[in-house]
Amino acid sequence: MMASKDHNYWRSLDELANTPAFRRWVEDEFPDLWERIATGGNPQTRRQFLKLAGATLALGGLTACRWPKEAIVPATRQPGNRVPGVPVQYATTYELSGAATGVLVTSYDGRPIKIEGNDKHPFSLGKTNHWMQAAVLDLYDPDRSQHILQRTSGTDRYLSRSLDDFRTFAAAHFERLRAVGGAGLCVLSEPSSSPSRLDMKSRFLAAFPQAQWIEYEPISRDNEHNGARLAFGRPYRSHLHLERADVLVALDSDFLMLHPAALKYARDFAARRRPDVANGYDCNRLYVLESNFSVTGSMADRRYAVRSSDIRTALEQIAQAVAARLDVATKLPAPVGDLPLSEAAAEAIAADLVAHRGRCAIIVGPQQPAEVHVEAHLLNDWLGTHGETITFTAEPAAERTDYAAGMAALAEQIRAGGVDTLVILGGNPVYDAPAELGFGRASGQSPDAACAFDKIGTTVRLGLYFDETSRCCDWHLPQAHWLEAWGDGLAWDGTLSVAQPLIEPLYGGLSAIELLAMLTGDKLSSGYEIVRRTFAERFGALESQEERWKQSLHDGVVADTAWPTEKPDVRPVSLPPAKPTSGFEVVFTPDYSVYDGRFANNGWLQEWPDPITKLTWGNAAILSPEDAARLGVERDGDLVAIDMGAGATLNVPAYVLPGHATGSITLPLGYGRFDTGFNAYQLRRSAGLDIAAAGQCRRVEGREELAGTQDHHAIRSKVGDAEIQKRIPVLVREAELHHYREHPDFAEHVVHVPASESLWREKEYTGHKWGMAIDLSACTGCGACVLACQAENNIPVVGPDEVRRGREMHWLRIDRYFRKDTEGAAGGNAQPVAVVHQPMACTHCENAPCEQVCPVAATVHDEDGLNTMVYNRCVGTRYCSNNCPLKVRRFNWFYNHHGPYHPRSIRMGTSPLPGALLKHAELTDIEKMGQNPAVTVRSRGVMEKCTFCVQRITAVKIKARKEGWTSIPDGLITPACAAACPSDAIVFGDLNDPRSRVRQLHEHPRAYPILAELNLRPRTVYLAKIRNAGSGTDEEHGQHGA
Amino acid sequence: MLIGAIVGPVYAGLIVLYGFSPQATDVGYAPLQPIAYSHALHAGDLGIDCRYCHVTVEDGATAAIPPTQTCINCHSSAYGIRRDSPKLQALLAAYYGTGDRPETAGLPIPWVRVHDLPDYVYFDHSAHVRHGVGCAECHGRVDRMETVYQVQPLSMSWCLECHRNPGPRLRPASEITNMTWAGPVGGRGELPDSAARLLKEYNIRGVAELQSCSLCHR
Repeated sequence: MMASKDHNYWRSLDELANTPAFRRWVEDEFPDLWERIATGGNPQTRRQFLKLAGATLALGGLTACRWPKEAIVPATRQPGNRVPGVPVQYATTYELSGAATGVLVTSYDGRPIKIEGNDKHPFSLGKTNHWMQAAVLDLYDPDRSQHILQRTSGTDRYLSRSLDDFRTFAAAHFERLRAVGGAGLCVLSEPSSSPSRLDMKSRFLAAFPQAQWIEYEPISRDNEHNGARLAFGRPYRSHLHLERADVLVALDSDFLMLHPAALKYARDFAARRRPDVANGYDCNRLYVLESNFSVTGSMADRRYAVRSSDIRTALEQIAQAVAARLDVATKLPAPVGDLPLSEAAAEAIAADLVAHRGRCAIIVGPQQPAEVHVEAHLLNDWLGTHGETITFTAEPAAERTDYAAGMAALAEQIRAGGVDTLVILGGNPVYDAPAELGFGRASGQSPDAACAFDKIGTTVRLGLYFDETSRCCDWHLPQAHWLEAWGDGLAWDGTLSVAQPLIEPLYGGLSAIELLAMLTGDKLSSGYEIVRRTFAERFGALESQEERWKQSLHDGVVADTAWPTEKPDVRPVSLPPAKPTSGFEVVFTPDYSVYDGRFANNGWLQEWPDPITKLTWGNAAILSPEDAARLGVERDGDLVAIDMGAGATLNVPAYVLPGHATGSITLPLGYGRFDTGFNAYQLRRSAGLDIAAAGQCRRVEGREELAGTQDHHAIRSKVGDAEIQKRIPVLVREAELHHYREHPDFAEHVVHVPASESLWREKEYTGHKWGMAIDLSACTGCGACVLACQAENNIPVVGPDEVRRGREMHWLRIDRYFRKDTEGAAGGNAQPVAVVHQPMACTHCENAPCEQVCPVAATVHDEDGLNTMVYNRCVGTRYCSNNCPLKVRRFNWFYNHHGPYHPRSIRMGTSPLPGALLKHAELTDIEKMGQNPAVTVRSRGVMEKCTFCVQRITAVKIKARKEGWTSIPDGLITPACAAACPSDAIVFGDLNDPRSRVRQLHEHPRAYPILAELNLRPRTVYLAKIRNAGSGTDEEHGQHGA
Repeated sequence: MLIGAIVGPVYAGLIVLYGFSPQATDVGYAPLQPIAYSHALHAGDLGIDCRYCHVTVEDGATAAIPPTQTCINCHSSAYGIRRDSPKLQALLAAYYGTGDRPETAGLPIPWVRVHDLPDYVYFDHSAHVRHGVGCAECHGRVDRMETVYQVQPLSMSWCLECHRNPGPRLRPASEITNMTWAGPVGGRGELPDSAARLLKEYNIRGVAELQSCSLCHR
C-alpha cells in the first residue's frame, strides 16, 4: 500500500453495492419528508400536529403580553464562597464492573450537570468514556424507582411503603434470622471494589455467620482469573504498559474500549501513534485477531478475522513460530485442525515479537477461555515482557468463585428449599442470569410463568429501577444513584478513591452499604459515617486522618494506595489440546451502548451510534458477508433464526459486518428490554457464557428495520462510483509509516486544488482565532466525544423512528469508513478490511457556505471567527443545511425536549402502583434539572450545530477580562469533545497563539483541511492517519518504532 | 377612501406592533413581592450600598437576591431593628418558623423576578459592573422605588444602543453603585475625552466584538 488513494472505501455494504436504499439516503436532504407529507404520515401524528397547532395558538394568545412569572428563590442561609450560577466541580468516583475511575462532576447551583475526567486519577487522566458522560441522564431519569414497594402476598400487586415500614419489617425479620445465625439467608450482590462494601460484607457475615454471600455480574473476567491461577498458582491481575510496547498482539481483546483500564490504555496507546520527525517517526504496531470487529480491531495495523474458538489455535501457531525462533522447548499443544492463520502471517507476527523481545505484549480478551490466557502468559514470559510491558499485582478477591458457578449453586439451593431470605443488591439477575438456571420470567417466558424466587420465603431487592428482578421480589427498595451516595472504590491498580454525593437522593434511595448497615443492625446508619469508618480503619484514628481525608476528597484519589507490583513465575502446565468445533460459534459480547443491559433506559446511550455498526436503539446478530450470502441474508435487518439446541431459539435481525469472522455470530447482550432489540441472554447458558459452540443459524421470513446511522449524511452527487472512490481518500487521508517517512508532506499532496479566491473580502482575525485539530491516527472512534457533546449542549434524543429518517440531532458524528485492506490479504483473511474513524462536526469555515445562503442572517461569524448559530433569529428555511458540504447542521423537526415526540419514554410499563401510569410525554421537572443552563435549549423549527462550545469560551473570556489577564493560557478552554477524548485526539485552542498546541498541529505536515477545493478555510483540520502494517514479510520490522 | 384603506391597516398594524413591543409590555412591570421590601428606604434613605445585599454582582452572572440571613443580620427576632413591624412578620416567619409550625423555619422566600431576559440571552452582571456600567444604567433610580419596577425595555435594540456606543455610558469604578451620579462635571457623556479615557481604562472591546451574536447568545 502506498498513500491512501489506492484504497476502496465504503461506509456500509449498501453503499458498496449502491442499493436503492442507499441512493434514497443520499438523494434526499431530509429523507422521508415527502413521504410523510404526501401520505399524511401516520394519521395519529397528523391529528397530534393539529392539536398542537391549536394549543400553540391558544397559549400564544394568552401569554403574549408577558412570559410567565418566574420566582427567584435564594437560600435561607447561603453557604460561604458560593456564587449562584457559577458552576463548581467536585471529585467523586465512578465504578463499572468492579473497577473505579475518578471523575470531576460539574455542579450548577447544587445540580450535577456534567461529568469530566479527573486528571489526578491514574485511570482517568482527565478523560472519560461515554458511559460516564451518560450518567447524568440516569441520575435525572424519572423512570427510576421512587417508592419502597411491598408485594401483597400471593398477588402481583405492590403497595407503596415508607422507610419506617421497611425498617420495622427488617428489624423483626432479621432478628429472627440472627437467632439462627443467618441460616437460610443469602445475599446476591453485584461485585464492587468498594472497601466500605467489603467491610459491610464482613460485618454482615459476622452478624449472620451462616449466611451466604454470592456475587454475580453477567460480564466477568473469570477466565482471566482462572488463567492466571493456572499459570502462576494464584490469580494475578495484569497491567499493560502500552507506552513501552512496540508490538502488540491482541487476541479477541478490546483493551481500548471494554477493559476497566481502557481510558489509560487508550491514552498510552495513542501516545505511540503520532509519528513525526520530532519523535523519529515512532509508532507501535498492533496486530488484532478477533471474530467481531471491535474498536481495538479498528485501530489494528494488521487485523485477522479469526473465529473466537479458533483464537487458541492461532495463538498456538504464533507460539510455535516464536518457540522455534527463540529455541525454547515448548510444551504447548501443537495447533490442530484447520489453521486460522496462514503460515506466513504466523511467521511474520512471531518474527515481529521476537525482534521486539521485552517491548511487546500479547493481550487476551476476557471472553477467551482460561487455557488461552495460560498460553499467552507463557508466551509473554518467553518474550521477556513480564516486568516490562506487563506487570502484575495480586488479585484482590482471589478466592471467589466464578460468577456463573455461584449463580448455579444458588439456583440449586433455591430448588432444594435451602434459601429462606434472599437480599439482592443491585444487578438484575432475573434478566441476565444464565438461561438454564431458570431465574427469570425474563427468559422469554410469559409474565405468569414461575420464577425461581417464588420458592424463597422473603426476597428483598435494592435496585435503581423497578425492573425484571424487582418484579419477582417481595420488597423493592430504590437504590441511590452513584451521584447521590457516599462510597469508595479501587481503581484497576488498587488506587483508592472516595465517592461523595453531588445531590441528596432525588427519590429517597439508599446505597448498598446503608442497607447492609440497616440489616446488620450497625450502629452507623449513614453512608458518610460508614465510608469514614472504613477510611479510619485503614489510615488511623479519625482525628489524625482528617487532613488526609479532606485532601483525598478534594483530589478524588488517595495518594500512594496502589497495590505493590509483584513478579510471579509462570509454572509449567500441560494443557489439553483444543477441541475443534463445528457449526456456528455464537459470541456473546457486552454492548458498547447499554453494556450488560444496565443502561437500557438511557436515551443518550440508546441513540449513540455503535462505533462499528452505527446501530442505535437496538442490537442485531452480527454476521460476516460470506455467512450472510450463504444464509440468504440480503440486507441488514433480515431475520435469522439462531438455534442453540434444547429449545433455545431466537429470531433476530441480522447485521452484515465486513471484517467479521466467518462461521461466527456475535450477539450483543443487554437489549430486549422496553422494545429495543432482542434479549441475547435467552440463549446464554453457563456452558458457553462467552463463546457458545454448535449453534445453528438459518434465514427466516421477515425483516426488522434497524435504526442505523451509517449512511446518514453521506455526500454523493450523481458522479458515479469511480469518482466517489477518488473522493473519499481525499476526505480521510492515510498512509503507511514508511511512505510517510519518505514523504512527510504526503497529506497535502493527496490532492491538489487550484488556489481559489473568495467572492467576499476576507477578514483578518487579529484577536482570538479559535481552531481545532483532530488526529485521525490517534482517534479510536470510541464515541466518548459524541456523548460529551450531547451532555454539554442539551442535545435532544429523537428516538428510533426519527433516527431511521435520518434526523438524529448529534452535533458531532463519527464517520466510519471501511476500506479494502490489501495488506491484510496475507494471512487467511477472505475479505480483509480496515477502518478509519473521522469525527465530524461543524468546522467553522471562515468562508462558510451556510452563512451565504441564510436569508435572515441567523448564522454569522463573530469576531473570533466562530460560525455562530443564532437560534432566536432562525426561521427554519434549512438552506444552510442544504448548502453545508459537511452535513453537520441539525434541524429540530419536533419539540424534541418536550411534547408528544419526546422519546426518552422507553417505558418501564405501567407502574405496579394501582392507577398510576409511568408515562412521560413531556420533560419532567426532574429531567430539566439535568440540562446545562449555559446553553440555550432549542425549540422546534430551529437549526443547530456545533458551536465549539462557545459557552466555555465565553466563560473563560469573561474571567480573563475581569481579572485583567493579558492572554488566555493555552489549554484553558476545552470544548466538551476534546475534554472527554480518551486518546487526546481532539485539540482546541487559539490559532493566533504561536505556541498553542492547536497551532502546532495546524502546521503539522500531516495536517490537511477538508474539502480544500471548496475554499472553505475550515478552522478544524485533520491529521492524516498513519498505519504501520509494514510491507508484509520484510526485515524492516526489526527497525520500526526504534 | 383609498387613503383610508391603505393607512387604516398600516395604522392598525403599527398599533399592534407597539402593543407587543417591550416598551408597552415590560416597562413599568412591578409585580407584588412576597415581602414589601422598600428599596427607597434601604438604598435611598439609609444609603445602604447595592452590594451589601447583592454580593455576587461583581463575581457572577447574576446579582443574586440575598439569602434571608442577610435580612436577619439587622432584623433578627431577638435584637433586630423594628422586629415588631407587621411588614417584617412574613420575613421572620420564613426564617424562624411560626409558633405553631416551627418546622417551617428556614423556608426560602420566593421573590418574583422583575428583570426577566429571554432564556437564550446570557447577561453577565460581573462583566458589566466591572467595566464601568452602573447599576442605575439599566435598573433606574432603585433608590426611589418603593416597589421595584422595570425602567428600561430590556429589548435587544436597547442593549445594542449601548453596545454600539458604550463610551458615554461608562462611569468611574467608584461611582458604579451611585444612584445619583450625574456624570463628569459638564454633563455626562458630553466630555468626549472622559468617554475615551474610560473606554481605554476599562479596556472595552471594539464595537464589532460588542455586537457579535455569540457575546450574548449561546
